[in-house]
Amino acid sequence: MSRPFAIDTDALHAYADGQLSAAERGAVEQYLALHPEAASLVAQWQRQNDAFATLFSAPASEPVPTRLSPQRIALGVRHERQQSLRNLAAALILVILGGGIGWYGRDYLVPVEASSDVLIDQAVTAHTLYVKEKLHAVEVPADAPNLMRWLSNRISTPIDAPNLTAQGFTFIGGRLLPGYDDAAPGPAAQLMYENASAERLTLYITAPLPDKKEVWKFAARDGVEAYYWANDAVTCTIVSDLPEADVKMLGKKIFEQLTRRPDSNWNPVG
Amino acid sequence: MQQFLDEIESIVPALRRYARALTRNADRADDLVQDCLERAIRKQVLWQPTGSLKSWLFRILLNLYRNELRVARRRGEHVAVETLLVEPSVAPAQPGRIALAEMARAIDTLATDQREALLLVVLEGLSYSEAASVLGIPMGTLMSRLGRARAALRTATGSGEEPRLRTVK
Repeated sequence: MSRPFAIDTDALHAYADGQLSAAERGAVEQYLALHPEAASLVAQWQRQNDAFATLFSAPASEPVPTRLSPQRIALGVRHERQQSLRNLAAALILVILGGGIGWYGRDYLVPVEASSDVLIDQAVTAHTLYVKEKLHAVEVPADAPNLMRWLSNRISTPIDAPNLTAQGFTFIGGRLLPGYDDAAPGPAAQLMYENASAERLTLYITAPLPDKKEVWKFAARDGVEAYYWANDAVTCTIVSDLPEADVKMLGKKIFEQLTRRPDSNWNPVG
Repeated sequence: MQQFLDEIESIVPALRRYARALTRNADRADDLVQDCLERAIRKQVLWQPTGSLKSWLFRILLNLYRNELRVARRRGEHVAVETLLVEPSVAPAQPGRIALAEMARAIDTLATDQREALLLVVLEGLSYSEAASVLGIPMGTLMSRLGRARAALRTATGSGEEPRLRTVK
């Protein structure tokens, strides 16, 4: 209390709380001797204070649990900091590694289009390009000698043109088409068929893919439908705009003859 | 660092006492103290060596206590009755017992800010200026809180007319 000492309520509180200097205490005591009401009030406060001490002092003399040891807590904090530094370092290393792998591995990480999709695209493109042709629909007509041997050689896979006469389709010829990219590098043979109502059907045939996995796919693109299969003998995409039931029926026959397997293995999806 | 920790260690008993008186629950009190110490040790750099370490620690403790109260209030948490009842640390046969229990209950009825202030001054023996700085209030506010707290206690315990509390000073 820096202001000049006056005996007011604050001073009485300060007296009860033992916050006065000896001289100030003396002054208050003199005052209290003359003012019994104030004295009784201050005495009450002091008894309150005593009660507080009795009620609440105990914890200060109890043994302190170890979890409240500052040394221990500091140790914990230090470990935690070291740990978070280590975590930070680890995170940094991961970021750097990740960046490096991402950068140098970018060629491997770019999603590669599935071979089947590439082949179906190619088959559909070739189909729509050539079925419109009246006179030059095929490169080599069906009756040319050695047509199938030539195509077989070029695609490195022995194939015969499936006979679809019973289904009303006549083989009109074929052509050799280039491969596309890494997903389907080898050349392809396109075989074209036609029925009495001038509806056309093409087969897009390549050597089996390196993984020789059996895959079945159906896709509708650009207004035509494509049935695709791949196995260890061949990949073939049947493209047409015929009704689905017809394509399924034709597909069985084609599958049977191309892969020389019973048509019970014909398993188009969709 | 070592000196800092040693100094803190010397204040821990007072912090426990104060926290226990505020919460009336030994576990909650020690949880508060532990939080307080962790915070202080983590933020050691924030401590101004010019201020008293004790005031700083009490300020942290009080803030944590208030946060806890706020959270509890928001959750609508009810404190079990038995945790509010204090076991007086005197033998039951002693005549002061009833008065003490009454006092303990009276303290519980005080407004939180009055209780915080009164306990800092009376229990912890902080000087008025220290207590005001811990509570972050002007001295005048502190004095009026003390005055109101003491008047409320007098009313609650009826000690004005209570002969058995009257002892020779």
